[in-house]
Amino acid sequence: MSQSAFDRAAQTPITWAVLIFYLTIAMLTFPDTDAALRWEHRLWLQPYLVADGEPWRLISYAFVHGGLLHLLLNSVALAWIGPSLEAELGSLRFSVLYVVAAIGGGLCVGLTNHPLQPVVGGSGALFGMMGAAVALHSRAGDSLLEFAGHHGPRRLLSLIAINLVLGFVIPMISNAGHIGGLIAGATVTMVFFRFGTWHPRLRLQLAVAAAGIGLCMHAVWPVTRWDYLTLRAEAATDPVEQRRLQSAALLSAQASGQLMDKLMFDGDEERRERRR
Amino acid sequence: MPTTIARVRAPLRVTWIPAGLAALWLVGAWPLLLLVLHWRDPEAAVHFQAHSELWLARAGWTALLAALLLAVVYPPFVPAIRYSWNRLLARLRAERTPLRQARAELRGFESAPRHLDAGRAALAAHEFEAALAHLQRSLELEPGQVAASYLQGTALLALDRPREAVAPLQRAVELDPAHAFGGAMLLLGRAQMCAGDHARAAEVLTRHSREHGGNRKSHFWLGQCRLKLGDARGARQAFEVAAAAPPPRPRLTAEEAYYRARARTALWTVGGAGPAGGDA
Repeated sequence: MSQSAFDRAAQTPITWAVLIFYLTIAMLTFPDTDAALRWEHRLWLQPYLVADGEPWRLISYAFVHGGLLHLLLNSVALAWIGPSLEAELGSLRFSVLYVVAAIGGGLCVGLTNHPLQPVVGGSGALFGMMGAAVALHSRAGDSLLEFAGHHGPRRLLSLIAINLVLGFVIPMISNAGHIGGLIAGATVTMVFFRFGTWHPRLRLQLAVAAAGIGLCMHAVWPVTRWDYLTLRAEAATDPVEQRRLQSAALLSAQASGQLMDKLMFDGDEERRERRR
Repeated sequence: MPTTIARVRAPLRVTWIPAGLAALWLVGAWPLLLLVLHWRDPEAAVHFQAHSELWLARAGWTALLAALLLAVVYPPFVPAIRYSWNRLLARLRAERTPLRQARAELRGFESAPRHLDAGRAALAAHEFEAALAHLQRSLELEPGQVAASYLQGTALLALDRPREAVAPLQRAVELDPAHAFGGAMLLLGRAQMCAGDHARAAEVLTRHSREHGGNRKSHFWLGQCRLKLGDARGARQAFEVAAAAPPPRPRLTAEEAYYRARARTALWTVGGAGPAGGDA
């Protein structure tokens, strides 16, 4: 007897939970109201806000979308790849994968994007799922590269390549998020998940974990970035400390060619009000 | 196949795995380092980051220019990259199923042929320590096997243990001089050469050339042995054979191209003009 849609959905609950979360957040953020705008501001990823003590944004941005088309595309992609991947990995590992891929995308945005540039969308996590699918194919094959000889995995690789090219061509798309998510998803599946007789080496796991923790530290405490230094200078009570931090912030802004942005950041009274 | 796996000093031998792990640890330690610097002096941390990025960029450009220069002035450079790339692909394409199957069969019943199969499969999968264990067990159960001795020597060479590889390869050659189409003899010569016994290595490699025709690799190794023995003329002859111009078809394999290039370079120091013609 064939299963009903509900029975099938119950076997992959996380995928559908994420989808429902997408829709819920969309209902909160899509209306053209002040409240919706505040919700969006509270959840989107801006690297300077992560450095200002709001690290949850490294995950929350993955559930916010910039418009109906954005939501539709990501929802369709999730519905396409999510259930089969969750069935293969199990719900717990799938949840870990989604979170790690979202964080990976966020870290890459934090490392490469302008500190004030906001980013939203679940596509970093979706790229992570595609990376995980590639890793699964690789591990399931008779050799690490055997999967590349099969039609299905090659189509997946083509899809990833096309999306990356689109990300470079279309300015609205944050390819940093895509690439970070892709690498994070593939890495966590290849290095940390145990399948059958596959036992990843402990020294590799430790090294990858160390790199991941280091990158997270750099996103949360970007001590050489002008926005972080400016925020610390504003919070400092000691005038000497304040001057040192402001001087370092100016130096950093000059080095990164973002001096004008820093000056505008300094003069942004609305931002200071929100902080208070 | 074993002759391409067994090598003692691979071209461009960079220990990729430890280097990769070290790079990952560096990525993890870098923010910590910056944090410590920042606590002491925020400006110093910014300076340090900016200078590090600058030096990294400079190092990258310098490495690129050095690579371009090497590609022009040092013939083995490009063939070495091609050879290393091919071996990396071969490693990534190494099949795991035969080893799994061989091990499953061993669980049911242990025998010399099954251990031999497992050893062969482990060698193909680049698991040299495991291969050695299976082959040793196979020889314990049934001494005097040519294939097991040959593969044991191959595994020992791949593990950088040439002195230990001499005995099993010697045994294989004594039992069957033509084993693996002369592969056993070739690897014996190589093992003796790496173990420092150049005289014996030269004898074996000369015999290999006489009985099995030799190839660019064997002639290059023979040239190196003769150089070590002070026979410059003999070395030049061997290098010239290795460096001979390739036929128009088929194209030289990556290994042949590499050894040809090395022989051409060796001729510069030994003396005597190398044959004209580019590397394949």
